[in-house]
Amino acid sequence: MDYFSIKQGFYTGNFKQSLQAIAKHNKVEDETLEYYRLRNLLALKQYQKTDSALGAVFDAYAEFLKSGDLATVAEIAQNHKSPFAQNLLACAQGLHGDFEDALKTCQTEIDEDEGTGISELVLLAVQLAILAGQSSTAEEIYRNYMAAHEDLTSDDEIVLNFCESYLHFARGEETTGSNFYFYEELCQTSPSWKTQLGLLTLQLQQSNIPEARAIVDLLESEFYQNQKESADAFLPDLLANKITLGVMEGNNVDQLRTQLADVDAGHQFCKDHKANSLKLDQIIAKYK
Amino acid sequence: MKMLTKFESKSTRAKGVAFHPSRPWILVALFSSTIQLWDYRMGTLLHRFEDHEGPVRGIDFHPTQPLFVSAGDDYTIKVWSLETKKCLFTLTDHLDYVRTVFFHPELPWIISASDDQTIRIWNWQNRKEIACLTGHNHFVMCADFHPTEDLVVSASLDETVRVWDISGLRKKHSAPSSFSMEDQLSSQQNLLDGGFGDCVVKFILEGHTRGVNWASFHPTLPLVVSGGDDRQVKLWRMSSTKAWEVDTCRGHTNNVDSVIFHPHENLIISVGEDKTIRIWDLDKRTPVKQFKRENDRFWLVRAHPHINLFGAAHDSGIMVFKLDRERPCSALNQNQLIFVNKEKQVQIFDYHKRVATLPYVSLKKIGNTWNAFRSISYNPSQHSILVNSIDGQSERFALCTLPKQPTGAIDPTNIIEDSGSFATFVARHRFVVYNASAGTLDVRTLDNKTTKSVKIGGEGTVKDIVYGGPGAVLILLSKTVILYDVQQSKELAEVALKNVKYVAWSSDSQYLALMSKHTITIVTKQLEVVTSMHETIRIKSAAWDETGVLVYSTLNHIKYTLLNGDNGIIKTLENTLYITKVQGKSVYALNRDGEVEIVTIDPTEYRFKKALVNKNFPEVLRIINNSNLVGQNIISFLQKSGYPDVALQFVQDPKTRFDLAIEDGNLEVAFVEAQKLDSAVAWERLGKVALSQGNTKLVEIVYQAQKQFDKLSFLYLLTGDKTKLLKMESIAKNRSDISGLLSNTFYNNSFQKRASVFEELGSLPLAYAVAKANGDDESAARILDSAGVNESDISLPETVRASTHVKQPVVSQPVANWPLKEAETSFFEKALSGQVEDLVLEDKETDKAVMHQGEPRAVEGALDEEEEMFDDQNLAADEGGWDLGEEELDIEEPSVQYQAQPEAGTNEDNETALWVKNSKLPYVLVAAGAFDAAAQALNKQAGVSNFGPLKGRFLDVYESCRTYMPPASNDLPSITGYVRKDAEEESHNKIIPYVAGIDVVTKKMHEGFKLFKSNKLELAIEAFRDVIYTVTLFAVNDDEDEEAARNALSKAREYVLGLSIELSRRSLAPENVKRNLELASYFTRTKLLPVHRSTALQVAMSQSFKHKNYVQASLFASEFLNIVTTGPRAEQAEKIKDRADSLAHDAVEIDFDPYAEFDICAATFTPIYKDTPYVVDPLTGARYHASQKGNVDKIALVSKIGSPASGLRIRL
Repeated sequence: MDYFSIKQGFYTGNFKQSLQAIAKHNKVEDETLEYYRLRNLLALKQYQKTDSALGAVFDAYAEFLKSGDLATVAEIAQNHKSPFAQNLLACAQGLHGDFEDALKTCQTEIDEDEGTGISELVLLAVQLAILAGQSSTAEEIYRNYMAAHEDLTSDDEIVLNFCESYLHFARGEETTGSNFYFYEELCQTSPSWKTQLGLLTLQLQQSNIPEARAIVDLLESEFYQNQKESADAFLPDLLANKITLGVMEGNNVDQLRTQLADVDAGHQFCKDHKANSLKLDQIIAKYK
Repeated sequence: MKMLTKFESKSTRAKGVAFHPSRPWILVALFSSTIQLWDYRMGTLLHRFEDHEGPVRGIDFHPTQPLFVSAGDDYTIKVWSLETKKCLFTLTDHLDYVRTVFFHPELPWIISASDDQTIRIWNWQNRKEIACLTGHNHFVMCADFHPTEDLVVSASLDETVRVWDISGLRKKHSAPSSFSMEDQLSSQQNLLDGGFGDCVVKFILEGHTRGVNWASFHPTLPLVVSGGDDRQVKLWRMSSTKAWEVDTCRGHTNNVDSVIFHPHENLIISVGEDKTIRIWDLDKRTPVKQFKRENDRFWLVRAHPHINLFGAAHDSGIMVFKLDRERPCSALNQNQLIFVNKEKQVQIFDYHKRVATLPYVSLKKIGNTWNAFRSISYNPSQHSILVNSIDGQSERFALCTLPKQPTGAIDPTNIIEDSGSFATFVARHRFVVYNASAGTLDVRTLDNKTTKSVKIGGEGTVKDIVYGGPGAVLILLSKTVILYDVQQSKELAEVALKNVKYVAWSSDSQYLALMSKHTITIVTKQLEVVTSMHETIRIKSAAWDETGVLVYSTLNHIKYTLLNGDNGIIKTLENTLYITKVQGKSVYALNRDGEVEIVTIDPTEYRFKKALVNKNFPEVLRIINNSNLVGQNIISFLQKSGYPDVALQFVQDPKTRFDLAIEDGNLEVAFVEAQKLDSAVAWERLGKVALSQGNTKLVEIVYQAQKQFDKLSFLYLLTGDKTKLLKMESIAKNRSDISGLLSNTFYNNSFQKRASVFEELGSLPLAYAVAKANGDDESAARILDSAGVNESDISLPETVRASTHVKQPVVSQPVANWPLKEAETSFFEKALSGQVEDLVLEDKETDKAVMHQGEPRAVEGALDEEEEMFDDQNLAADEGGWDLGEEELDIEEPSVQYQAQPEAGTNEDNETALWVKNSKLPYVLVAAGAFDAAAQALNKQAGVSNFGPLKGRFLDVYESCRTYMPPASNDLPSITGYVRKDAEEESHNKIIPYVAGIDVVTKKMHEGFKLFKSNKLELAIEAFRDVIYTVTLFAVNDDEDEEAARNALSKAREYVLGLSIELSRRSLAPENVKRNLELASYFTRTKLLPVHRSTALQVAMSQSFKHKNYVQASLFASEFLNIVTTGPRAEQAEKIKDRADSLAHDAVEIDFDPYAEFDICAATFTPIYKDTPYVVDPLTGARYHASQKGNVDKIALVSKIGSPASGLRIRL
C-alpha cells in the first residue's frame, strides 16, 4: 500500500488531507492506516474512543494527555507490542519527562526492527534525544538506522527526512543549504501552517528578516487564519517565532510574550522565559 | 557534435555561395547562369541576377560596401550593386572559365582564378587589372587573399598549392600619388611580364597526387589546408622561409572540392563529390563528424565571416548549417544564474550584484570535446550541477559538485558520470534520468542509485525533460507536454503541443511559456492553454517579468506578450540573446559567447497595456502622464481595445484625433478637430454624432457651417425654435429656394405664405386650395379672381382641409440639448480634467524633489557624519518646535499684544558552549544564557550595578537567538533551534549568536526623535534609555559599527540629559523664574541635533523674553536664527531679537554664562565649570559633581557614578 500521501499529509500538518487519503482505504485493516488515522484525529482534537487493538493504546494515550496517567499507557502498551503502540508509550514517557525511559522504549523496538512503524520510532527517538539535550545521541540513532536501511520506501523517506531536518535544525547545520530547501520544497508541495512555520524558523536561523516577516504576514492572512484548527494548534509556535523576529527587528515584544503565556504557558519559550526571568531577578537582587 | 540545418534551397546545381557580412543574406551561384539572393532567416528568395552566360562559379560579397562580385564560364567577372540590383561593370581579361572570385578584406581589390592558368588581381574602383599571377601550369581552381597578410593562396590541377607574396603590389598601389611616370610605365611592363615583380611565388606546396581543387588560409595561424582529386585533405604549415606538409586527412571517397578552417575552433571542414561534409580535428587530424546527402555532390563550403554559420553548395541547391548549438546552458536559482561559458566553465551570475563569479570548475573533460552540452540542472542544496551531453550516438550525464568558492577553472573533483538523458533535479536529494531504450524515468539519489523507475506514456518520442515544480518534471514529447509528479509517479496534466523545446516558468509559478521553434503557448500550471502565438522568426528564449509579462527573444528581437495574447516588439537585436531573467527595465541574457548581457528596455508599452487590460486605470494614467508613450501601435491597440478616449491622449494629428473623438463620442474634441479639418465628410460625421447625442447646438453649428438649410429648418422645427424657423423661411425666400420655402411654410404653418408661393409660381389651383382650406377666404377670392373662375366652378377634394398637424411647441424656449445618448466622460477624461479627487498624477519622487527645492535646508552642510546617521529624513530644518503653551510674549510694539504661535515648535550545551568559547562579550554571554557571567562583566566594564532596567534587554538578546520548530506530532514540545550570526559559518571557532545590526540602534534612536518632536518627553527619555541599554548589550564587527554604536550611546545620553532638564523646568513653580531661566539656558547646551537644539533655543528665547531677560533672549534668538533661517518660527525669532535688542537689559540674574565652557551635572542640573572637580559615569559618560560619586547614574539608571571600570566592550 502506498502510504506516501497519508504520511506526507500528517507530517506536513495537512491532517484533513491525510484523513481523506486514509478514508480511501476504509475497508482495509492495517495498523499503519489506523495509527495515522488516530494520530490525525488527535491532532485535530477530534479523537474518539476506538475499538481496535491499537485503539486501546490510543485511548490510554489520549487519557494520559488529559490526566497525565502514564501507568495505564504503559500497561496497555505492554499488551500490544507493536512499534506504533510503543511509539505512543515513548511519547507519553517523554512528555512525562522520562526521556531516558522514552529513548529506551524507542531503541528496543528500533533494534528489533520488526513490523511497520520503525521509521516513526526513529523520528520520535530523534526528537526525544534533542529535547533531552542529547543531539549526538539523536544523530547516532538516525545514522545507524539509515546505514542499515539503504532501500527506503518513499513513505519512509518522508518520515526520515523530518528526522534529518530536526537534527540539522537543532545543530544549526545545513541552515542555508539542504535544510532550508527541504522546507522550501515542502512549502511549495504541501503548503500548510506547519511547513510555513518550518520555513519561518529556517529563515530566522539565516537572519532573513524580510523573508521571515513575509511568512508571518502570510500566516496571519485570511487564508491561513481561516484554517481554524491549524491556526489554533500552531499559534504558540507562531507567537514564539514572532517574538524572535520582533526582537531582531528591534521592536517591543512584551505584548507577544503575554499573549503566548496566555495561549500556551507550557511552551518551551515560556518555560525558558520564566526561568530566565527568575534568574535575572536573583541577579538584580544580588547587585542591589 | 551536431549539425543543425538552418536553411536549404532547392535549385539546379549550385557552385558557389557567399554570406552577406551583416544581413541574413546568402548569394548562390548556379550552374544554370543565375545568381540567387536568399534571406536564409526568412527562407525567401529576394532576387535573381541574370547576366552571365553559362555557369556561375565564383561569388563574393564585399565586406563593407553594397556590392558583390561573380565570375563564371563566360570568362567574365561582374561586379553588381545590391542597391540597384544591376551589374555595375564587367572585367573581361580572362581567357577561359573563371573559377573563383574574392574581394580583398580591406583594399579595393578582387582576386580571380581561371582555367587560363592565371590568377589576376583587379582594382574594382578604377576597374583595372593590377596583377596577373602566372606560374600554375594547369587550371587554377581557386585563389584567395590571406585575411591579414599580403599573401595569396592558390590551388591548381597542376597538383600544387602555391602561396604568393603580394606585398610589392600593396606597396605600389597603396600610395599611387608617389607614382612617377616611370613607375607607372614599369608597372604596366610588370603587368605585361606577369606581375612577377609585385607578386612572387613564395611557396610551392607539392604533395597532392592529383589536381588540387581548393586551398585556404587559416584565419590566425600560419596554416594552409587543401583538398584535391586525390580525395585527400592536406594540412600545410608555413614559416617565413619555408612551408611543409603537416598531415593528411583521409576519408573522402571521391574528389575533395572545397576545404576551409573553422573560423574560431580547431576544426577543418571539407566537402566533396562523395556527397559528404566532413569535420576534422585540426590538432589530431582525425574525423569528428560527417554528414552525407543521398544524391548530391558537394561543390563548395564557406563560413560566415562573423557568426557561427556555414553554407555548402551541392547538386540541387545549398544548405546553411551550424555546427553544434550555441545556446549556453544555464539554470536559474533564486537570484543566481548558473551558466556554462564558451570555455565550458561554470560561472554564477548574481542578479542583485550584477556580476559573474570566477569560474567554479571547468567541464572540458566531461563529454566529447567538440560537443556543446545539452542542458544543466542545478541543486542549490548540494551546490552541484547535472550536465547533459551527447557523446556520439549515446546521451550521457554527469553529476558534478561545485566547490564552495569560485577559485578558477579547476577540474571538478567529485564527478559521477553515467549514460542517460535529460538528467534533472526534482528535489534537493533526487534527480531523474530518462532511459531512452527502456522508455523509463529513473529517480536517483545523489550517489546515482536508482530508487524508482517509472514507465513514461504519452504520444511521440521524449524530446526533453525539464523542471516542473517541486517533485515534478515536464516531459516534452514530440506531440504533447506532460506534467509528471515524480514522487507520486503520476501524470498531473497534459497538453497537446508539438515539438516544445523550451519552457519558462513565471516567478509565481502560476504560468509557464512553452516554446517550440515558431510558437509560444502560455499555459497555466495545470497546463490549461491561456494563449498561443506564432512567430515567423525563430523563438529563442523567454522569461517572465515580475509583473507577469512574458518577455521573449527571437533571433533578432526582444518582444513581449501579455496573457491575453497582446504582443509587441521591445527591441531589435544585433546578436541573438537567450533571456534568463527580466527585472524592471533590465533584461538579463546570455549571448552566444557565453557571457551575461544586461539589456536595458523600456517596459512602458507593455506595462501600459497590462494596466489597461487589468483596468488598472490609475496606473494607466500615471504612465500617460509620466512617459512618452507614442506610436501607431499603441493607438491602434487602444482603439481595438475600446479605449479611444485614452488613445486621444497620444495623438496630435487632427484626422486621427477627430476619428478617435468621434468613436469616443467626445464632441468637444471632435468639433475642435473638425474645424481644423473643415471637410464635408468630417462635418457630416460630427453632425450625425452630435444629433445622436441630442446636442442640438452643435448640430446647428454643423448644419450652418455646411449650409444644410433643409436640415437646419427641420432641426429648428424639432427643437421648437419658431423664431429661427421664420428666419429660415425668409432665407429660403431670399435664396429663391422654392422647395425649402414651401417646407418652411409647412413647419411654420404659414398657409398664407404657402398660398402666395403657389400663386406666384402660377399654381393657382394649389394656391386656392391652401387658402380656402385654411379659411383665408379673402386670398382665395383674389386667387379665383386672378384665375378668372368662380367659386362654383371649383369643388375641392375632400382631403383638402386646414393643416391641423402643426402644433404649437410645448416648450417656451427652444430645446438646446436633448440628451438622447449620454456621452459619459471616461475615467481618463475626468482625471485629466482634474475631476477625480485624491488622484496623484505626479510622480511622488518628483513631488519630493520639488518640495526640497522649494524649502532649502537651513543648516545645509552643518550636519556632521554622526548627525547624518541620526538625521530624521522627514525633518526639515524648521519642522516646528513644541507647543510652548499659552504663554504670551510681549514682542510687538507696546500697544500690540503678542500672541505666541500655537504650533511653534543540550544541543543547547553544545551550541551555547561554542558561543561562549568563541567570545566573552557580555552580549554573547547573555545570548548563551550565562546571565551571571554577563552581569559580572558589565559590572566590571561599565560599573553596572542596577540590573533592573536591563532585564528586558537581557531577555531580548536571549530570545532573539532562538527559534522554535513545531514537532512531528503536536503532543511533543517544540524543538528549539539557534540563530547564529552567520548561518553559513562552518568553522567552530567562529560560531557566535545572532547580533542585530546597527540599524536596530538607529531605528530606536529615530523613535526617540519622533517622541521628542511630538513633545512626549517622558516617552522620549525612555526611548533614548532603550538605545543605551541596546548598546550596553551589543556586539559589532568593525570599527565603523563600533563608532556608530558608541556615538548613539553618547547622543542618547545628551537627549536624556536635555529632556530631563526640560522636564525639571516644566515642573517648577511659576514664581521660580531664576531657576526656570537657568534650566532653559542649560537645555540649550546639551548636544542635540541642530533641528532639535533649535527647539531648546526657542524655549530659552521665549522664556528669557517673557521674563524680560532681553539680552539673553537676543542671544538665544541669534543662535536660533543660525539654525532656522526661514519660516514662521524664524520670523518670530527675528521679531524677538529686534525687540529685545531695542530694550537690551536683563531683569533676572541667572547662573549662566553663554561664553563660558561648562558641563551640566546630570543629577543636579547645575554647571560644572572648568577646573571644578567632577566624576564620570563609566557607562554613559555623563558628568556629575564630585559629590555624586557612588550614586546611580541618572541618565541610564543602571551604573554607579565614578565606579572603577575597564570600559564597555562591544567589539567581537
